[in-house]
This record gives sequence, C-alpha cells and structure tokens, in this order.
Amino acid sequence: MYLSLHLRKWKTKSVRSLLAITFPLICFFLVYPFMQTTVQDTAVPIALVDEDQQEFSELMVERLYQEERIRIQLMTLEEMNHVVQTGEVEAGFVLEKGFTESVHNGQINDSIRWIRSERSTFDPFAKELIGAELMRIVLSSKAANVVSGEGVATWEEAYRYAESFWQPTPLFEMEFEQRNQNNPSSSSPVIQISEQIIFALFLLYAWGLGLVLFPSIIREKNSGIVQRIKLMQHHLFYYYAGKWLSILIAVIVTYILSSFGMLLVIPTSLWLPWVIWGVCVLAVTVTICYGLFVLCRHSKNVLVVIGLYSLGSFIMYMMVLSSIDLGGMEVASFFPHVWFGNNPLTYLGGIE
Amino acid sequence: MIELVQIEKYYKRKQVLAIPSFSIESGAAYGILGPNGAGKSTLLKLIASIEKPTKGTLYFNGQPYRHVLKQVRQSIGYIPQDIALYPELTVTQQMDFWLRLSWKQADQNFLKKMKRTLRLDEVAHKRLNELSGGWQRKLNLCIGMIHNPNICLFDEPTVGVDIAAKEDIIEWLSTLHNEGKTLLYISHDRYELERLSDHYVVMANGTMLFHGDKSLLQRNKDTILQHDSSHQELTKILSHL
Repeated sequence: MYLSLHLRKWKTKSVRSLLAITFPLICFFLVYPFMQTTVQDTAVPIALVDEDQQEFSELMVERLYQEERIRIQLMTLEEMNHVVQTGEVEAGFVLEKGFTESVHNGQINDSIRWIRSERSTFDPFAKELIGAELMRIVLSSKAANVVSGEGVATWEEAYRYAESFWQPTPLFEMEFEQRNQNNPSSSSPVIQISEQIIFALFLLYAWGLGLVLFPSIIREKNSGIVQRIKLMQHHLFYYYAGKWLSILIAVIVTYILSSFGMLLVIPTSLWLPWVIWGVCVLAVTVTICYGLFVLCRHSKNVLVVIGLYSLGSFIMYMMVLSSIDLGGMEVASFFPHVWFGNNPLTYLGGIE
Repeated sequence: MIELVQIEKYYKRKQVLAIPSFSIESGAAYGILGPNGAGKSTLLKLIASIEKPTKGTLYFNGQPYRHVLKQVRQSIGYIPQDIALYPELTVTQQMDFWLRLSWKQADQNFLKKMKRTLRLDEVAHKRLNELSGGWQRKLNLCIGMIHNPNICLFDEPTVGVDIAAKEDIIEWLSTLHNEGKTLLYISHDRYELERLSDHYVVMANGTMLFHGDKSLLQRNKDTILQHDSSHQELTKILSHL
C-alpha cells in the first residue's frame, strides 16, 4: 500500500523523478565521447624523422602510422629535438640515411637512432613496436636475399612471399593481460580501475539519492501525516517499512539504470558481477543508514553525518585504489565503497 | 467516558499544561477557548493519545489509557490544525488510501453523508495541492473522521477558510453533535462557539480556568475575567458569549 502510494507520488512528479534516476546515465552519455577521445589521447606520442626517404623507410613510416598504441608525428630533426626537450612527445626516432640499403643488405645496426629526454616514460614501449616492425622488414629482406641469391626467384618475388607469412596475422603476437588483483591465478579478464571508479561513482550517486529521499519522513512528521498514521494503524511499522522499501527500490533502479551505460565499455560477463555486487552493497548500506536515521528520531544532523560518510567512503576507495598507505587498511573496511571494491564475484572469475 | 487526573505536561522542563481534574461527558460539545499558548492544542493531543502526559493519568471508560490504547484510538478522531495529507494525491485517492489504512471497517452511510455535507464529490478528482484552503481543510476533517469515531477532536477546524466552507464545516459538526457524538474543538470564533457548544473549557497559561455548561459559564464569566484579564482576545469572546 505504501509502495503504491510512493509510486503514485513519483508519477505525479514524473519528469523530476525520471531525471533523478537517469541523471548518472545522462552524464555518462555526455562524457562518453570525451572518454573515447581520452583513450585515443592515451596513445604514446612519438616523433619520427625519415632521413632516408627510400622504399623501406617509407614502409616503416606507413606501418607505424597504422599502430594504434603510438601516435606518430613525422618531422625534421630540428623539430624533433625541440619537441622531445619540451616533452610534447615521449621520444624521437630517426631513420638514418642509408636505412633502406642497410636493410637490403641485412645490416640493421645503427640504422635507427633513439632520442629521449629525462621525462620520457613510455618510450621503451614505442621502441619495442618500432623494433618489431624493423625486424619484420629485415627478416623478409634477408629471406629475399637468400632465395634470390640461389636464383630460385627474383628478390621482389621472394620478398612478397616472405611478407605473406606476416599477413593476415603475424607468426606470433605478444598479448597483454590484466590479472584480477584479488585472484591473480585466475586468467579471467577484469575491469580497468577507471571503470571501477565509474561504478563507484554510480554507487555514490544512488546512495546520495537515498539520503535525499530520507527527509520526506521529516516533512510528513511535521505536517502531521505520521501522527495520523499512528492513530489509524496504532503503530508505524508498516509506514517505516514501506518507506524503506520504496527508497531501496529507487536507489537500486538508479544504480542498475546508470550501470547500463557501462555496457558500451565492458562486456556483459564483466558488467554483471559489478552490478549484482553493487546492488548488494547498496541495499545493505541504505538499510543501515535508514535504520540509523529512524533510530535517531529523524535528526537532520544524522543525515549530514551520513552524507559526509558517503563522500568519505568514496574518497577512501580512491585511496585504496591508489595504494595509499592506510595503516594496514583496517580503517578502510568501515566504508561501503571499499566493500564494493572487494567484489567477491570477481574471485569466481566473473559471471558468464 | 474520558477522565484526566492530575495531568501535567512539560516540554524541556517548561510546564505547558496542568489540569487537576477534568471529565468529558459523552455526547457533549466542548468549545475550547483561550489565548495562544494556553495549552489548548496540547490538551487535545493528550486526549488523542498522540502525546503522553509527563505526570498524571488519562482514563477511558475507567481504564488507564495505556491499557486500552487501541480502543482509545478507535474511538477518537483527531483533526489537526495542519493539513496532514499527501499533496500529490487526489481527493478520491486520499479517501481510498486512508480507508485502507484504517483498522476499522468503513461505515459507507456515514462516509456518504460526510462527503455530501462537505460537498467533497465536487472536487473528487482534484489533487490536494490544486485545492483552495477551504477544500483542503474540509478534506482534512473528512479523513480524520473516516473511521466514524465517537469522540471527535478538532484543532481550529475553520481557521483560514472562506465563508462557504466554514458553513459546510459547522453544519457537519452540528450533524455529528445531533447524532450524539462527543465533540471537543478549539476555536477563536464566537459565532462558531455559540452555535455549536453546549459546554465550554476556558484555558490560559496552561491551566483550565473554567469548564462547565453554558449557564455555568454565564454565571462565572466575571470571576474568570477577574482571574485573568490580561488577555484581550479572551475577554472579548467571553463578554459576547
């Protein structure tokens, strides 16, 4: 009965109610294109100077341009020295004059110069990629040299044949995998820290929404509705229970609805454990807070304290994620966001 | 029926009410008058069992309230001064909601009569926040009495309403009185008090200066005014009664 009353109340303020429960989802969709850009921006910027400008050096440049994990900027040597020093790029690579000839001859030593500054951090990663591309060209070239030397085929034919072994997929690939921090032995995929933070923000919003709904009890008490219910029902158990259930439904629906946006970023098998566990944490947290609010006779001060606690909980979670020393982390166990972070469902290797 | 014995009520150590003894006669209509802060609303809340006395005991049919609280609440209808209703619901929805909430079987004839007298059918599909103050107060009154109580407590039932709504409310209270229900209502309106009351309670500074029927009040008017002449409003009402 109380549930239908609250549903009816929300229906009369449908636009406001809908906006309240979909606000995080709307924010997510507004921010999502920028998130994509940010992902693109996370490609390591690398300066490249092609002093050779021959067949193989141009091939190298073309292939490195296609590499998603680095962002190649072709420039002159002077420009490169400048941008490396200013930190606009992580590092610079110079394809020396005679690069194509050296590769043809199977000589690759000192064919590429690597220039970096003290601020360079991710450039070894770019070095690996450039090295891999160079090795591919050299190996194909060496194979072509051997085959053409025996007179079985021309150099170009042998080179094309050798290259065909690299496509459509290379002979071997290096795969990077992020392991579950809680269960490193499991090979199941895990979500990124940034994605966990988004889930934690949804949790914070839903919790906050619950706190915003609590004071309706104060309003109903002040207007005499609670007194009237007490006179009519002789107790307030159903009133409080109905209120709790309606708030719980509102916060859970908000959290689940918000989380739907994450399906654009992560697969369902990773999404589901975080949604289920989030709902569990949210239900326990909101129930404890509601109980406290009712037991403290609907004090506004209690509400302020709980509000600060919810913010503190999120901050504590961020500290845990940042591996900031919290004195053995015992204090962290008092915060719902930290419970959320220790998702036991991911121990099970996700839900298929 | 209802008896108050040695009642005292304190709010944060401040005494707001002290009544040595007061009995409510069945079927009587009590007009409670007195200046602001006299303890009138507190008296009604104690009788309605919304608040507990700090000292003393209330009796219902000879039994202390705490032993028969359920019966007390079944028998009493309390209509607060505030509009204790959900603003988002229509008149019909309010009626349905509070009827379902009430532990007492609804008396359909009583409900029909109440709705007809207060003309609530005219605004049946309007939400509370779309109604004028007069309609809101009439609905508030109707909901407070939805379980057809025998003792009706009204805290200024006609305050801030238009003349038409006031007439409807007074007519309904007269009907209740004629049906033999016990009424206690707070009012500052002489006309209303004269038309409805056969008993009066005069209060000031948390004490009961007088309680008794109309003729007794006429005989004791001067004594009451001598006792407390500091309140102009009380003096004005009493001199006209």
